[in-house]
Amino acid sequence: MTATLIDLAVSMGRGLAITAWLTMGGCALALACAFLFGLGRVSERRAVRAISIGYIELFRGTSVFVQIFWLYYALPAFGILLSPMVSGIVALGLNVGAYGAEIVRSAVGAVGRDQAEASTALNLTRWQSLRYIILPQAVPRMIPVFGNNAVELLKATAIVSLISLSDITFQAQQFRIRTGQTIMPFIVTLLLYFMLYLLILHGVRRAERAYALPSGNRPS
Amino acid sequence: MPRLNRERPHRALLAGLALATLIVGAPAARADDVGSMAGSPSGSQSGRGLTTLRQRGFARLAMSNEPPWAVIRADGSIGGAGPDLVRAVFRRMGIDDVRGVVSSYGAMIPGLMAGRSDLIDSGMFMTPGRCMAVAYSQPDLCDREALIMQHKGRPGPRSYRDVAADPNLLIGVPAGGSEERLALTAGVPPARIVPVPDGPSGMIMLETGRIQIYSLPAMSGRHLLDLWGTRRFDLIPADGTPVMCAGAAFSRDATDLRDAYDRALAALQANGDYARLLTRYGFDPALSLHRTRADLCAAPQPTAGPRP
Amino acid sequence: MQPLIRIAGLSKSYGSSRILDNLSLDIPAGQKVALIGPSGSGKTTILRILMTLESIDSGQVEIGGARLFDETATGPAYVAERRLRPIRAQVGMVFQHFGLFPHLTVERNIVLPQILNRVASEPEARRKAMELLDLMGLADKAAHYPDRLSGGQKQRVAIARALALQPRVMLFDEPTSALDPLRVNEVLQVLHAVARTTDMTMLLVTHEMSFARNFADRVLFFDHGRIVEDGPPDAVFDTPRDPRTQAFLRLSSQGE
Ligand SMILES: Nc1ncnc2c1ncn2[C@@H]1O[C@H](COP(=O)(O)OP(=O)(O)O)[C@@H](O)[C@H]1O
Ligand SMILES: [Mg+2]
Repeated sequence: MTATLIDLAVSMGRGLAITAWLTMGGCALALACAFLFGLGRVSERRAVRAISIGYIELFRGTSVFVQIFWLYYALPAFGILLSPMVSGIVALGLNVGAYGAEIVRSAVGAVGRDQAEASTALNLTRWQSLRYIILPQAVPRMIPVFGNNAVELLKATAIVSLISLSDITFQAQQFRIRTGQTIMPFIVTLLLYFMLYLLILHGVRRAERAYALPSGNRPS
Repeated sequence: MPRLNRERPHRALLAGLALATLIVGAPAARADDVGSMAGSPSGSQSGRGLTTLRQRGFARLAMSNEPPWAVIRADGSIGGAGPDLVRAVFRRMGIDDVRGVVSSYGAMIPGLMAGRSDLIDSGMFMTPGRCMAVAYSQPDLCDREALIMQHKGRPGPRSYRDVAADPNLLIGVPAGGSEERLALTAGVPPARIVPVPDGPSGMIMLETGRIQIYSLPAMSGRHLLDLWGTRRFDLIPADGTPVMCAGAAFSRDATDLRDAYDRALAALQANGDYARLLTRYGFDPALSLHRTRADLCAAPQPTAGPRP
Repeated sequence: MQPLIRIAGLSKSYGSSRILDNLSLDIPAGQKVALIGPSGSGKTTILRILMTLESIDSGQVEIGGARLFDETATGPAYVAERRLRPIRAQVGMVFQHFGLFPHLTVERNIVLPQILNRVASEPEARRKAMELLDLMGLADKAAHYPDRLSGGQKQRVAIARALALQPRVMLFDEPTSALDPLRVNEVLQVLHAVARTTDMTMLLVTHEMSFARNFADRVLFFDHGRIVEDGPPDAVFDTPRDPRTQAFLRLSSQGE
């Protein structure tokens, strides 16, 4: 019994580390892609807009399953051999980043035109207007939706058993096959994912407070 | 557990990608046919020839958790009859280190093709289809099909035909595996065949009455009964089913490595190490004795034993 | 002397409707100009073009001798951003709906543009902001966010914000039309004070005829994208020549 419990703790602990790294790395990349391509989507330059739209539609239009498979199993045929962890982070980050880009685009679009025009009238550059006027008003709108995306990313990490990464779900499955126990690993799996979910929720709450607009100006 | 053409939810996609990789790698396969080893896209960046492996000092073994065929332990280390045999063979070839690439069952062949492993040994049965995708060694671990059912104290079904004859029986099969085809061939209607995702799930389905019979390779069944306790369940060989054999699977552009492996395997079979290792895990070393890759790869799809 | 603002042959259409019809206009430095006329006659559009917010179909605009448009194959296009910025620096605008930044305090609304434009250091910018807020009678609102202010207060902050950058030209687009009638006067008084005490060139679109008369050196009456009447306030208001001006002024005076 003790041996089984130690087995469970060891394997689930290893799985937790993998899932946590994937989630953090994936979220960081997704955030970067969201801003890069979300703002590129509303750029004045045609080529930048086209590239951004291409990225967003490609990664929203195909499943993360296909994407991770291409990164890990098909790219080596073209001479690119990414490690499993990098493949996982890149696939999750690019996929969720495409949804994030749409969030950035719509949040920026929801800031009134008058704000951009007032910025121009005050002779701010486009960058200054974005940085000091538009984004501070758009970011509070993005945070809760980004939070949802982060949770989606967390749940999508379970896909990495495909590419030889032993995350929480995979470890639970391996434990079942090793020991024949089903209830225990599933309880632990449930608790671990829920704990990670609560951590993300906590982070989102903090970010919401940090970026909150003064009362009365909260986006509705 | 080892399965023939095991279905996974994404099997079609896996197959498609595997095929795509195969096509991309096709020039390499042709170059290999005329005896050249270099110049393949996957070969050039991952190098899986014998010399490359010797220089690198270790081999990468893809496997999934299919006890007792292949086992992944809590600390991530690997064991089981297949990997242990592979270790012994490679040691004889002068490569002392074999590292596990832990995969899901369906991802092992695409991974091999993508250069992410040097070989697979995870109780993956030889079939004509797989023999075209990978270069198999001579058969190493062989087994028969078996049936598990709750212990009732009275005689139950002994073959797929018996299952077909009793309209009250639901039979669980490893999703899409050879067992499904065996059952269909014996006349079990599709509505009474239930796909089972993994061993423990099959046992729970038996316990809760979702299925009455669970069919799978005998060695896998024995392992499950060890975990579940033999008193409540019966494990019997399924009458009239063919012997299936697994082997180590290599990339098709690494036949030199495969041939070297075959020679070392034959040596271990000759000196008795092979039989000792298999017996330790409960496998019958005699089953592979008169079976060859050529026969198994050419075999027609299994039938449900002798015709009446 | 060369006029500060020179508008030549300016035309603009939305679809089939002509908003500005081959409009030409020179404004010398320091002039206070009131733009009046029925709604939809193109008054806002002309201010927005001067603020580089609106494209045109043909014509040219110069401010301080610098052209706003390059002639391209597809018609006039604003000159490159790099050349546009020094021109914009000379122009300020106050919008009908204020355009205050809701995420910044009143003080910060005035300070930030100064800093980003590098016209003042942080302490200088804050001193300037307080000075202007004092002038506007809003010194006690410096730390408030815009949503806590009344419309009249917001508009005064917007005026202070534009003035802080010390433009040569100020554009006011109906600065009082979005206000509670009780609040109109507080803004008009500020405008009046500014007009009296600076040599800034000012263009004011308004429906407050009596204020226009007090404020302006020159009154332009717009109708359907054209200037129908152009003269000193007394002439335009007392002895309008065009029947359209006469009709408009008659209606306006009934409203007042
Ligand atoms: N974005 C637009 N699209 C279509 N029509 C417009 C647009 N902006 C202004 N207009 C039209 O242009 C005309 C002139 O508008 P404007 O310059 O605002 O007039 P004014 O300020 O004199 O009331 C109006 O008829 C208005 O409806
Ligand atoms: Mg207007």
